[in-house]
Amino acid sequence: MNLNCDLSRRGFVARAAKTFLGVGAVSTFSDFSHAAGAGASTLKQVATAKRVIYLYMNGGMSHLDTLDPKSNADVMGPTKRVNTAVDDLKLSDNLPLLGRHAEKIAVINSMTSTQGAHKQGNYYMHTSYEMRSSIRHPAMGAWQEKFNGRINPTLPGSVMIGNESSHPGAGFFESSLSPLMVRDPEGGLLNSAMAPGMTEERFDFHLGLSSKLDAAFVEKYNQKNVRAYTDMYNDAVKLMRSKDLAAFDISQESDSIKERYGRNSFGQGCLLARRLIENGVSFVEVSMGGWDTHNSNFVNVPEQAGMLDVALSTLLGDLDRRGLLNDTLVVLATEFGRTPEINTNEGRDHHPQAFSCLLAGGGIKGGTVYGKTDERGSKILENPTKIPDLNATVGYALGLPLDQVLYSPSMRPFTVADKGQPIVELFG
Amino acid sequence: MKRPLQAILLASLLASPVIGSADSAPTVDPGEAIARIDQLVLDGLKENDLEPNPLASDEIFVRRAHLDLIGRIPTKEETLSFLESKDPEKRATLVDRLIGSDGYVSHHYNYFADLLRLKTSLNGNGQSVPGGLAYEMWIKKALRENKPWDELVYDLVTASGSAWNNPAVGFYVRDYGMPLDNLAITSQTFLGTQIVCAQCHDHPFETWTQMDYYHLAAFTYGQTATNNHPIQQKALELYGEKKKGKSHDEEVTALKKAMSEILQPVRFNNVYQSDKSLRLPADYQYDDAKPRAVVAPATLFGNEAVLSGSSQPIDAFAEWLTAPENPRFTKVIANRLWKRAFGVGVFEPVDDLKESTPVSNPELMAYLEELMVAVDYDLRAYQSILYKTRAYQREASLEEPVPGAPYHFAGPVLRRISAEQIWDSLVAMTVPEPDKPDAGRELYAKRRIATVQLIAEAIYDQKPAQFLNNVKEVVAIQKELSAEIDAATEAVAKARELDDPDLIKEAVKEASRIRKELGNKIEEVVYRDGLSRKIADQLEPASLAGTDRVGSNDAEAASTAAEANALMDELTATLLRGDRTFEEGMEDIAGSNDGDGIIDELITAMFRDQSAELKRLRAESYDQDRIDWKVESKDDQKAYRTFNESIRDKMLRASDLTSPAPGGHFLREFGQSDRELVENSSDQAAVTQSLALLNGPALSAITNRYSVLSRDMRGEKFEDRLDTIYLTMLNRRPLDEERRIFKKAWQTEPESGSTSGIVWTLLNTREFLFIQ
Repeated sequence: MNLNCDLSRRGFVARAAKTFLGVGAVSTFSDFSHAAGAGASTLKQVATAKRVIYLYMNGGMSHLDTLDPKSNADVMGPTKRVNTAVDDLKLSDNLPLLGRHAEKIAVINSMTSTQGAHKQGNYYMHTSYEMRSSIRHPAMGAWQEKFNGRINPTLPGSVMIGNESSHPGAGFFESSLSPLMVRDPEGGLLNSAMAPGMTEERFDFHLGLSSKLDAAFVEKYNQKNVRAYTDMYNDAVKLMRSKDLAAFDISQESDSIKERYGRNSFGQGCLLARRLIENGVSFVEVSMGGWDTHNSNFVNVPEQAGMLDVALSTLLGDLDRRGLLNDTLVVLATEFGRTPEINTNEGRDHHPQAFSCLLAGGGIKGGTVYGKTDERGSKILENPTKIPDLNATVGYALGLPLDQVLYSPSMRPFTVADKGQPIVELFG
Repeated sequence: MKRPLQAILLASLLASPVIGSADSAPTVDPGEAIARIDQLVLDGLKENDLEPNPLASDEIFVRRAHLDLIGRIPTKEETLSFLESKDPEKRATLVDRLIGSDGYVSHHYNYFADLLRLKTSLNGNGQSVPGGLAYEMWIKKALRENKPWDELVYDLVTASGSAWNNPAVGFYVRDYGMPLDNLAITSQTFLGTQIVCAQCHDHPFETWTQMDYYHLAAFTYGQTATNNHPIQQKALELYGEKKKGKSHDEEVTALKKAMSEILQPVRFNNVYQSDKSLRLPADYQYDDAKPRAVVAPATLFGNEAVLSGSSQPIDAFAEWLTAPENPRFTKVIANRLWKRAFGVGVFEPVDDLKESTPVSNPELMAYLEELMVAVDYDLRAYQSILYKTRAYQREASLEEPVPGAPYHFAGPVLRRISAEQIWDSLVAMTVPEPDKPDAGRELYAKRRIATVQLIAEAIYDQKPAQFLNNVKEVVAIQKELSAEIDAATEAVAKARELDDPDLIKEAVKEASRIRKELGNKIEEVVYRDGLSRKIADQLEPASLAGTDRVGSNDAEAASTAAEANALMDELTATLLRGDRTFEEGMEDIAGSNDGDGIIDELITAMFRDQSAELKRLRAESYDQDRIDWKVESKDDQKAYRTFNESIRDKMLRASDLTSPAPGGHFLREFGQSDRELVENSSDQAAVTQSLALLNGPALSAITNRYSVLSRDMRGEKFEDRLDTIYLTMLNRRPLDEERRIFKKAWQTEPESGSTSGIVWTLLNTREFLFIQ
């Protein structure tokens, strides 16, 4: 589905959404229409980014030991603050390679969250909504596909690389918008080739037989999860037949580039992300666990940050060389930061009050530092940025209509980034 | 455990068996309880103008009961024996048989592993694997012995000691370094109460304050997983830690470093009780106390916990937590198990109770709680009642429940079978005796646990002076190697800076070689010495008196000590074998090269017989199998070998695999929990699942010449094979219409009549993936 046609996007979305099961873009309930979407940003631009590579640091990345180091030795422990090519932009000595790309990145040092627990914080960052038991909100990749469709119709709109079994995915949207999960980047897309001995004709014939036999069951239980499996089978077959399947195969990359991304699953995940982006997947998330450093923060963070540093700086360089960085937005996000206080286990605890994220490419003005925390990295002094604001900024880069209300099947109204306001100053 | 009778029993004259622990009076009559639940469900439906669903057919029931109680579909034989039975009570009989089987343990272990976030590598560190394995075996044992839920939770919450003498310490080691988070999870898991927000500030929506949170946490704060064994402190005191002077400080630092190197393999396996007190955080912002003030333990709701002079706060906490009077403990487990049977809880979500949580049928909920108390938290007895109700035996509802809206249990809801259930069903179609626990995993666990225990035995009982001497030796070795280590570390950093892949690889390799060398020397100096002295002591029992062991002061102390001694006895016997002195034994084994370092070599020697026995039993059963199934020709032999080596050895029940299965494993693709969050498994569809069933290795395993399914089809013609495959995979016979479809297909495309054609076709239906 391609939207870049003569229809206005808004008009298309309204019509497209109506045709999608259970989701109405235009409310037929007049009671809701005045309140729905109130407070959402009305700002909208021509997209500066077509694609997103979203790097998620699972467990809560210590902002002090990465993007927002301080000179105060009391809070820093052994971590040092070092200069980069950009005067105002200081990074910790755990990210030496990233420092060389300072002119490409915008660091937001004033992130703040209301969620201090992992599951809730992770969910909030991915969806802009707090976790509720009665509804599951869509993640950013699903919103993007909902509005913008797929760049390459045979490949999934979004792909999630890493071990993440509780990703909000498509939320209340149709499950075809769920990200395709790739657990092991080097394994690529498992089972995507037919089993030995199977022929295409037989495969089709048997699959036809299967759905014929299953028809009564599927009709009897007309339920969301049953229908979802029918969709998934259709997608799976389409994908198997696509020549774009090679996008998942990083064995086609040279050893030296694999080495440069780092021989660990995050590094290889970033390499796979680049291949997928190149082939028209529009939203790729790569997650990296191990950031929950309640213990031995100063042993664990350098190790984690070492992998991040190598992979992220290689990714930025690689995208740039290939001319992809201009319209690919790279996001580095996490659920919260970590305390300035160092606990008795030489660790840092959860700190949602203040933390850091990073944006690069896709129209973002590099060499930027946005927002500021106090001398301990504990409280925000300037430009507090809520989680929905960050997502609104991502949506803004993608040219999404931030105030466009879509309804869940239970007719509750939602927007891409809730009431988040995009940080337009970051675009230049 | 004595509990007041809550259910009034009149029907003791009826011959139905009375469930309840042997030492207590009969507390509940199952027949009455079943009838009562059924009536309450009907009342609830009526009140909402709803009709119950019709009773499910035997075919649906046999499949559902197997999946729900033992986690896999029934085999053809099990299906037929149920369908053909004329016993009017056959459903109840089946429920009891399944609840009493090994499959029950496996299936329920999967559930509790998800609930408790049980990982084989317990807290993500390699050293916590023995603790993870011990915890796994402990949970399985508790389920096998049907340990009542209140006792099980009591044992988890009060656990202290080490993985080898009290495996329940896994409960705390899982959250090593995060005692406050552990408490939040305890509250969520066992009390269905989410207080995590109040860890940092007053809860925004509920009544819990940050002070409430700290009051509760004060109970469990002393129960902390730690890596600090008291012997470290004793040795440092002996050395004179407090002396002043820069060079002295450096020495102390070096000693500490050496100690942590020595104790490294036993890290993340210990919980020692301490009486350290919990203080409020430095940024505490409310008026009721000052930041950093000490907080006294106090409960969240219900009764006060009784703190008597002699008992630890943790015991009072555990008593309060698991008491029938606790307003939420019973409710949560009763509702969780109800949800397991029906797919939806009487209240939802099961672990986020609020004042405003709607309960779809309050009378039913109240009765389920009463029942749970009356059966003394006996999970098998409770479930045996639920699964015999008519409510459970009805057809699944055609419409899915609306999230947030109450569900009134016209029947169970349609559920996608869990990742473990799908995997285990494939196992049952392929491998004989699918419920039998894997003896290989048990032996592996024993070995890993014995290894850390042996190291602990070598260290923990050393006299402080002896330990200090050993540590000093290690310091000397470290000094010797430190230049090399520094050089290697620097080389790695430099290689990374240069961004040269080959250099990085080489530098990392060199660094790990040096580390390994250090490890070997430590083994030689400390462990061997410690064990030698210990055995010498053991051979002279008199000197054993007055040994100062840590962490075994609870009720299990006696059996614990016996187990510990059993390991040392075993070691002694191994060393003395063949009339050699133990020094000679040590020399022999150290020279055997049967392992990686002295500890590993000793373990290999100690487990030699058990390993051989396991091998022998396996070979014997395979030999018998070969005779039974006439594996004769060369071609047969080859196929059988493939079956054994690449199928049978890999297709173990989910409960006998690493927890969680590694990323990319079939189990993970289908939504097995990553064990990071409480109940984190998923039943959502994904393209990768379709791909796994369409193209993955499952088909070739199920249709291998020696799979259970193939064995069941030996010599059968098309019609019968079709029956067998339907009875095996969907647990019913094909309908006439389905026979016609297959026959016609067979005529057009001959492969569709082949075994693999039929299996592939059914494997890729929704009917296979869902429980009706």
